[in-house]
Amino acid sequence: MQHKKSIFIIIVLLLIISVWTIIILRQKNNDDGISLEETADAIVKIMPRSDLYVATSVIEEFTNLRQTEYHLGLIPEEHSCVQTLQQKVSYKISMTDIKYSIIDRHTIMVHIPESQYSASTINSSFISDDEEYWYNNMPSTKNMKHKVETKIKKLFDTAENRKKSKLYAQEAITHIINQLGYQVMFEDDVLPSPQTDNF
Amino acid sequence: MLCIFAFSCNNNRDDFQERKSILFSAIQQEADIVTTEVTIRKIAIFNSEKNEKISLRDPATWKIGSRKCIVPVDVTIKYGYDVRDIKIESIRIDDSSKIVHIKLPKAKVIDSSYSPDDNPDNIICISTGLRSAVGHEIIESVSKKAYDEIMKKKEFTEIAEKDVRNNVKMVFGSIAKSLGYKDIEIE
Repeated sequence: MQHKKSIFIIIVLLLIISVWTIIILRQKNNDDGISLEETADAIVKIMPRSDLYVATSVIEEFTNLRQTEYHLGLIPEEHSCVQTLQQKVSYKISMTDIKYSIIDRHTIMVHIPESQYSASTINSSFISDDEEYWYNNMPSTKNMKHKVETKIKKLFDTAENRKKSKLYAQEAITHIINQLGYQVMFEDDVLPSPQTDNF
Repeated sequence: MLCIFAFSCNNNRDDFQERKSILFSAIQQEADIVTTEVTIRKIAIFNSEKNEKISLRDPATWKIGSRKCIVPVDVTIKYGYDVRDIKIESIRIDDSSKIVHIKLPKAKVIDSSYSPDDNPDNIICISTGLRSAVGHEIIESVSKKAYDEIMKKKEFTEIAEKDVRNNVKMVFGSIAKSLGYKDIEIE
Protein backbone atom coordinates (compact mmCIF):
# COMPACT_ATOMS: atom_id res chain seq x y z
CA MET A 1 0.00 0.00 0.00
CA GLN A 2 2.83 2.30 1.07
CA HIS A 3 4.69 1.42 -2.16
CA LYS A 4 1.68 2.35 -4.35
CA LYS A 5 1.32 5.67 -2.52
CA SER A 6 4.99 6.56 -3.21
CA ILE A 7 4.60 5.76 -6.95
CA PHE A 8 1.47 7.90 -7.08
CA ILE A 9 3.28 10.85 -5.44
CA ILE A 10 6.23 10.49 -7.85
CA ILE A 11 3.87 10.42 -10.86
CA VAL A 12 2.03 13.52 -9.61
CA LEU A 13 5.37 15.32 -9.02
CA LEU A 14 6.63 14.38 -12.48
CA LEU A 15 3.37 15.64 -13.96
CA ILE A 16 3.68 18.97 -12.12
CA ILE A 17 7.33 19.34 -13.22
CA SER A 18 6.41 18.55 -16.85
CA VAL A 19 3.57 21.08 -16.88
CA TRP A 20 5.82 23.70 -15.25
CA THR A 21 8.60 23.06 -17.82
CA ILE A 22 6.13 23.36 -20.70
CA ILE A 23 4.82 26.67 -19.33
CA ILE A 24 8.34 28.06 -18.84
CA LEU A 25 9.52 26.96 -22.28
CA ARG A 26 6.48 28.45 -23.99
CA GLN A 27 7.08 31.75 -22.25
CA LYS A 28 10.75 31.87 -23.17
CA ASN A 29 10.29 31.52 -26.88
CA ASN A 30 11.15 35.04 -27.99
CA ASP A 31 13.79 35.16 -30.66
CA ASP A 32 16.70 37.35 -29.67
CA GLY A 33 17.57 39.42 -32.72
CA ILE A 34 16.78 38.45 -36.28
CA SER A 35 19.33 37.24 -38.78
CA LEU A 36 18.36 36.11 -42.24
CA GLU A 37 19.70 33.32 -44.40
CA GLU A 38 21.70 34.36 -47.46
CA THR A 39 19.39 34.84 -50.45
CA ALA A 40 19.79 36.63 -53.78
CA ASP A 41 18.51 40.15 -54.42
CA ALA A 42 16.65 39.79 -57.71
CA ILE A 43 16.14 42.93 -59.80
CA VAL A 44 12.58 42.52 -61.02
CA LYS A 45 12.34 45.66 -63.14
CA ILE A 46 14.05 48.93 -63.98
CA MET A 47 11.60 51.60 -65.07
CA PRO A 48 12.34 55.03 -66.54
CA ARG A 49 10.72 57.81 -64.55
CA SER A 50 10.53 61.56 -64.91
CA ASP A 51 9.13 62.88 -61.68
CA LEU A 52 10.03 65.88 -59.60
CA TYR A 53 9.73 65.34 -55.82
CA VAL A 54 9.37 68.43 -53.68
CA ALA A 55 8.56 69.30 -50.04
CA THR A 56 9.79 66.11 -48.39
CA SER A 57 9.31 65.12 -44.77
CA VAL A 58 9.50 61.98 -42.59
CA ILE A 59 6.55 61.14 -40.34
CA GLU A 60 5.81 58.28 -37.96
CA GLU A 61 2.25 57.35 -36.97
CA PHE A 62 0.50 54.40 -35.37
CA THR A 63 -2.86 52.83 -34.80
CA ASN A 64 -3.97 50.39 -32.15
CA LEU A 65 -6.59 47.68 -31.97
CA ARG A 66 -8.20 45.92 -29.01
CA GLN A 67 -10.11 42.69 -28.92
CA THR A 68 -11.58 40.59 -26.13
CA GLU A 69 -11.07 36.86 -26.16
CA TYR A 70 -13.46 34.70 -24.11
CA HIS A 71 -11.96 31.57 -22.62
CA LEU A 72 -14.55 28.78 -22.31
CA GLY A 73 -17.06 31.38 -23.49
CA LEU A 74 -16.95 33.10 -20.08
CA ILE A 75 -13.57 34.38 -18.92
CA PRO A 76 -12.60 37.55 -20.82
CA GLU A 77 -9.02 38.39 -21.79
CA GLU A 78 -8.16 41.75 -23.33
CA HIS A 79 -5.71 41.77 -26.27
CA SER A 80 -4.15 44.78 -27.89
CA CYS A 81 -1.74 45.49 -30.71
CA VAL A 82 -0.08 48.54 -32.25
CA GLN A 83 0.92 49.02 -35.88
CA THR A 84 3.51 51.74 -36.49
CA LEU A 85 4.64 53.12 -39.84
CA GLN A 86 7.43 55.55 -40.65
CA GLN A 87 6.96 57.14 -44.04
CA LYS A 88 8.85 59.58 -46.22
CA VAL A 89 6.20 61.86 -47.64
CA SER A 90 6.43 64.41 -50.42
CA TYR A 91 4.67 65.84 -53.45
CA LYS A 92 5.29 64.47 -56.91
CA ILE A 93 5.03 66.37 -60.19
CA SER A 94 5.28 64.55 -63.49
CA MET A 95 7.97 66.25 -65.59
CA THR A 96 6.25 65.15 -68.81
CA ASP A 97 3.11 67.06 -67.79
CA ILE A 98 4.96 70.36 -67.37
CA LYS A 99 4.18 72.57 -70.37
CA TYR A 100 6.58 75.17 -71.76
CA SER A 101 5.72 77.91 -74.23
CA ILE A 102 8.25 80.39 -75.55
CA ILE A 103 7.14 84.01 -75.03
CA ASP A 104 10.18 85.66 -76.61
CA ARG A 105 13.91 85.01 -77.10
CA HIS A 106 14.58 85.25 -73.38
CA THR A 107 11.36 84.26 -71.64
CA ILE A 108 9.53 80.97 -71.18
CA MET A 109 6.01 80.53 -69.83
CA VAL A 110 5.70 77.38 -67.72
CA HIS A 111 2.57 75.56 -66.62
CA ILE A 112 3.04 73.22 -63.68
CA PRO A 113 0.35 70.54 -63.20
CA GLU A 114 -1.22 69.73 -59.80
CA SER A 115 1.20 67.94 -57.50
CA GLN A 116 0.34 64.48 -56.23
CA TYR A 117 0.82 63.25 -52.70
CA SER A 118 3.44 60.51 -52.49
CA ALA A 119 4.48 58.32 -49.54
CA SER A 120 7.04 55.55 -49.17
CA THR A 121 7.39 53.28 -46.16
CA ILE A 122 10.83 53.26 -44.59
CA ASN A 123 9.95 51.42 -41.39
CA SER A 124 7.06 49.31 -40.21
CA SER A 125 6.61 47.54 -36.89
CA PHE A 126 3.89 45.55 -35.18
CA ILE A 127 3.76 45.13 -31.41
CA SER A 128 1.22 42.98 -29.59
CA ASP A 129 0.51 41.35 -26.26
CA ASP A 130 0.03 37.89 -27.81
CA GLU A 131 1.70 37.17 -31.16
CA GLU A 132 -0.17 33.90 -31.73
CA TYR A 133 -3.62 35.32 -30.89
CA TRP A 134 -3.25 38.20 -33.34
CA TYR A 135 -1.88 36.02 -36.14
CA ASN A 136 -4.86 33.67 -35.82
CA ASN A 137 -7.48 36.41 -35.45
CA MET A 138 -6.08 38.96 -37.88
CA PRO A 139 -4.21 37.18 -40.70
CA SER A 140 -3.15 40.43 -42.38
CA THR A 141 -2.06 43.82 -41.04
CA LYS A 142 -3.11 45.46 -44.32
CA ASN A 143 -6.14 47.26 -42.83
CA MET A 144 -4.15 48.61 -39.89
CA LYS A 145 -1.40 49.84 -42.21
CA HIS A 146 -3.97 51.51 -44.42
CA LYS A 147 -5.38 53.29 -41.36
CA VAL A 148 -1.93 54.62 -40.43
CA GLU A 149 -1.24 55.68 -44.02
CA THR A 150 -4.51 57.64 -44.03
CA LYS A 151 -3.54 59.35 -40.76
CA ILE A 152 -0.15 60.37 -42.17
CA LYS A 153 -1.73 61.63 -45.40
CA LYS A 154 -4.29 63.67 -43.43
CA LEU A 155 -1.49 65.19 -41.38
CA PHE A 156 0.76 66.12 -44.30
CA ASP A 157 -1.51 66.69 -47.29
CA THR A 158 -2.86 70.14 -46.39
CA ALA A 159 -3.66 73.17 -48.52
CA GLU A 160 -0.71 75.00 -46.95
CA ASN A 161 1.74 72.19 -47.84
CA ARG A 162 0.36 71.89 -51.37
CA LYS A 163 0.98 75.61 -51.82
CA LYS A 164 4.47 75.15 -50.42
CA SER A 165 5.12 72.28 -52.85
CA LYS A 166 4.10 74.46 -55.79
CA LEU A 167 6.50 77.17 -54.68
CA TYR A 168 9.37 74.67 -54.34
CA ALA A 169 8.55 73.21 -57.76
CA GLN A 170 8.60 76.69 -59.29
CA GLU A 171 11.99 77.35 -57.67
CA ALA A 172 13.40 74.06 -59.01
CA ILE A 173 12.13 74.62 -62.55
CA THR A 174 13.38 78.22 -62.50
CA HIS A 175 16.80 76.88 -61.49
CA ILE A 176 16.94 74.48 -64.47
CA ILE A 177 15.57 76.91 -67.07
CA ASN A 178 17.79 79.78 -65.88
CA GLN A 179 20.84 77.58 -66.47
CA LEU A 180 19.73 77.27 -70.08
CA GLY A 181 19.69 81.06 -70.40
CA TYR A 182 15.97 81.81 -70.14
CA GLN A 183 13.83 83.79 -67.71
CA VAL A 184 10.78 81.96 -66.41
CA MET A 185 7.17 83.03 -65.97
CA PHE A 186 4.53 80.81 -64.42
CA GLU A 187 0.91 80.62 -65.47
CA ASP A 188 -0.29 80.53 -61.86
CA ASP A 189 2.40 82.15 -59.78
CA VAL A 190 2.22 81.48 -56.04
CA LEU A 191 3.27 83.85 -53.33
CA PRO A 192 6.33 82.92 -51.26
CA SER A 193 5.33 80.69 -48.35
CA PRO A 194 6.04 81.64 -44.74
CA GLN A 195 9.46 80.68 -43.36
CA THR A 196 8.14 78.34 -40.68
CA ASP A 197 7.47 74.71 -41.58
CA ASN A 198 4.19 74.10 -39.87
CA PHE A 199 2.02 71.13 -40.68
CA MET B 1 -12.53 43.46 -9.72
CA LEU B 2 -14.17 43.79 -13.14
CA CYS B 3 -14.62 47.54 -12.53
CA ILE B 4 -10.89 47.96 -11.82
CA PHE B 5 -10.07 45.96 -14.98
CA ALA B 6 -12.42 48.08 -17.09
CA PHE B 7 -11.01 51.28 -15.57
CA SER B 8 -7.42 50.24 -16.31
CA CYS B 9 -8.39 49.38 -19.90
CA ASN B 10 -9.97 52.81 -20.38
CA ASN B 11 -6.85 54.43 -19.00
CA ASN B 12 -4.70 52.53 -21.51
CA ARG B 13 -7.00 53.55 -24.33
CA ASP B 14 -6.58 57.20 -23.34
CA ASP B 15 -2.81 56.76 -23.30
CA PHE B 16 -2.91 55.50 -26.87
CA GLN B 17 -5.02 58.40 -28.00
CA GLU B 18 -2.86 60.97 -26.28
CA ARG B 19 0.26 59.91 -28.17
CA LYS B 20 0.98 62.21 -31.07
CA SER B 21 2.57 61.40 -34.37
CA ILE B 22 6.29 62.00 -34.60
CA LEU B 23 7.71 64.32 -37.21
CA PHE B 24 11.29 63.35 -37.88
CA SER B 25 11.98 66.30 -40.12
CA ALA B 26 10.43 69.58 -41.12
CA ILE B 27 9.57 69.99 -44.78
CA GLN B 28 12.77 69.99 -46.81
CA GLN B 29 13.17 72.42 -49.66
CA GLU B 30 15.18 70.05 -51.87
CA ALA B 31 13.75 69.22 -55.29
CA ASP B 32 14.69 65.80 -56.58
CA ILE B 33 14.30 64.60 -60.13
CA VAL B 34 13.73 60.85 -60.22
CA THR B 35 14.79 59.31 -63.52
CA THR B 36 14.95 55.60 -62.72
CA GLU B 37 12.99 53.27 -60.46
CA VAL B 38 14.44 49.88 -59.57
CA THR B 39 12.31 47.14 -58.00
CA ILE B 40 14.11 44.36 -56.16
CA ARG B 41 12.52 41.22 -54.78
CA LYS B 42 14.13 39.32 -51.95
CA ILE B 43 12.88 36.13 -50.39
CA ALA B 44 13.65 36.74 -46.75
CA ILE B 45 14.19 33.50 -44.84
CA PHE B 46 14.35 33.42 -41.08
CA ASN B 47 15.24 30.21 -39.27
CA SER B 48 15.46 30.38 -35.49
CA GLU B 49 17.73 27.28 -35.41
CA LYS B 50 20.51 29.29 -37.06
CA ASN B 51 20.11 32.16 -34.59
CA GLU B 52 19.90 30.48 -31.25
CA LYS B 53 22.53 29.04 -28.97
CA ILE B 54 21.79 26.76 -26.05
CA SER B 55 23.36 27.43 -22.68
CA LEU B 56 22.85 25.04 -19.77
CA ARG B 57 23.11 27.93 -17.33
CA ASP B 58 20.43 30.03 -18.99
CA PRO B 59 16.93 28.49 -18.95
CA ALA B 60 15.79 31.16 -21.43
CA THR B 61 17.80 29.35 -24.13
CA TRP B 62 16.14 25.98 -23.49
CA LYS B 63 13.77 26.00 -26.39
CA ILE B 64 12.10 22.91 -27.78
CA GLY B 65 11.40 23.26 -31.48
CA SER B 66 12.05 26.00 -33.96
CA ARG B 67 10.41 28.92 -35.76
CA LYS B 68 10.79 29.47 -39.47
CA CYS B 69 9.41 32.17 -41.68
CA ILE B 70 9.64 32.97 -45.40
CA VAL B 71 8.51 36.43 -46.52
CA PRO B 72 8.78 37.83 -50.05
CA VAL B 73 9.76 41.51 -49.81
CA ASP B 74 9.63 44.09 -52.61
CA VAL B 75 12.03 47.01 -52.33
CA THR B 76 11.65 50.07 -54.57
CA ILE B 77 14.64 52.36 -55.09
CA LYS B 78 14.36 55.68 -56.88
CA TYR B 79 17.46 57.13 -58.51
CA GLY B 80 18.05 60.65 -59.65
CA TYR B 81 19.50 64.05 -58.85
CA ASP B 82 18.88 66.98 -56.59
CA VAL B 83 18.13 69.80 -59.03
CA ARG B 84 20.25 72.20 -57.01
CA ASP B 85 23.33 69.99 -57.53
CA ILE B 86 23.24 70.83 -61.26
CA LYS B 87 25.36 73.98 -61.51
CA ILE B 88 25.64 76.51 -64.32
CA GLU B 89 29.23 75.37 -65.00
CA SER B 90 27.89 71.89 -65.81
CA ILE B 91 25.82 73.14 -68.76
CA ARG B 92 27.30 74.09 -72.13
CA ILE B 93 25.19 75.12 -75.10
CA ASP B 94 26.43 74.64 -78.62
CA ASP B 95 24.61 77.42 -80.50
CA SER B 96 25.54 76.17 -83.98
CA SER B 97 24.29 72.60 -83.51
CA LYS B 98 21.59 73.58 -80.98
CA ILE B 99 22.76 70.81 -78.66
CA VAL B 100 22.89 71.13 -74.87
CA HIS B 101 25.80 69.40 -73.16
CA ILE B 102 25.27 68.56 -69.49
CA LYS B 103 27.86 67.26 -67.07
CA LEU B 104 25.82 65.54 -64.41
CA PRO B 105 26.79 64.84 -60.83
CA LYS B 106 26.76 61.21 -59.72
CA ALA B 107 23.25 59.80 -59.52
CA LYS B 108 22.06 59.12 -56.01
CA VAL B 109 19.33 57.20 -54.26
CA ILE B 110 16.55 59.72 -53.84
CA ASP B 111 14.11 57.43 -52.09
CA SER B 112 13.75 53.81 -51.08
CA SER B 113 10.89 51.90 -49.55
CA TYR B 114 9.76 48.35 -48.91
CA SER B 115 6.54 46.45 -48.79
CA PRO B 116 6.18 42.90 -47.58
CA ASP B 117 3.81 40.74 -49.58
CA ASP B 118 0.50 41.44 -47.83
CA ASN B 119 -1.17 38.29 -49.03
CA PRO B 120 -1.06 35.83 -46.09
CA ASP B 121 -1.05 32.94 -48.60
CA ASN B 122 2.38 34.03 -49.85
CA ILE B 123 3.96 34.15 -46.39
CA ILE B 124 5.05 30.83 -44.94
CA CYS B 125 5.37 30.48 -41.18
CA ILE B 126 6.30 27.24 -39.46
CA SER B 127 6.76 26.55 -35.79
CA THR B 128 7.61 23.17 -34.35
CA GLY B 129 7.82 21.63 -30.88
CA LEU B 130 6.69 23.90 -28.09
CA ARG B 131 7.35 27.13 -29.94
CA SER B 132 4.44 29.50 -30.41
CA ALA B 133 3.31 30.40 -33.94
CA VAL B 134 5.23 33.02 -35.89
CA GLY B 135 3.19 36.22 -35.94
CA HIS B 136 3.15 39.68 -37.45
CA GLU B 137 5.97 40.92 -35.19
CA ILE B 138 8.49 38.47 -36.67
CA ILE B 139 7.16 39.02 -40.21
CA GLU B 140 7.64 42.80 -39.86
CA SER B 141 11.14 42.39 -38.40
CA VAL B 142 12.16 39.95 -41.14
CA SER B 143 10.87 42.33 -43.85
CA LYS B 144 12.74 45.29 -42.38
CA LYS B 145 15.91 43.21 -42.07
CA ALA B 146 15.65 42.19 -45.74
CA TYR B 147 15.22 45.84 -46.76
CA ASP B 148 18.22 46.90 -44.65
CA GLU B 149 20.39 44.15 -46.18
CA ILE B 150 19.51 45.19 -49.75
CA MET B 151 20.29 48.83 -49.00
CA LYS B 152 23.55 47.90 -47.24
CA LYS B 153 24.86 45.57 -49.97
CA LYS B 154 23.91 47.95 -52.80
CA GLU B 155 24.30 45.19 -55.42
CA PHE B 156 21.78 46.99 -57.61
CA THR B 157 23.89 50.13 -58.20
CA GLU B 158 26.11 48.66 -60.92
CA ILE B 159 23.17 47.39 -63.00
CA ALA B 160 21.07 50.49 -62.49
CA GLU B 161 23.85 52.97 -63.30
CA LYS B 162 23.62 52.47 -67.11
CA ASP B 163 19.85 52.86 -67.11
CA VAL B 164 20.07 55.99 -65.00
CA ARG B 165 22.26 57.71 -67.62
CA ASN B 166 19.95 56.70 -70.49
CA ASN B 167 16.86 57.87 -68.64
CA VAL B 168 18.46 61.20 -67.73
CA LYS B 169 18.94 61.87 -71.44
CA MET B 170 15.26 61.17 -72.01
CA VAL B 171 14.03 63.43 -69.16
CA PHE B 172 16.32 66.40 -69.80
CA GLY B 173 16.05 65.91 -73.56
CA SER B 174 12.30 66.53 -73.46
CA ILE B 175 12.85 69.79 -71.55
CA ALA B 176 15.55 70.92 -74.00
CA LYS B 177 13.35 70.09 -77.00
CA SER B 178 10.48 72.07 -75.47
CA LEU B 179 12.82 75.04 -75.35
CA GLY B 180 13.77 74.74 -79.02
CA TYR B 181 17.03 72.79 -78.72
CA LYS B 182 17.71 69.82 -80.95
CA ASP B 183 19.03 67.35 -78.41
CA ILE B 184 20.98 66.85 -75.24
CA GLU B 185 24.32 65.17 -74.62
CA ILE B 186 25.24 63.75 -71.24
CA GLU B 187 28.94 63.98 -70.45
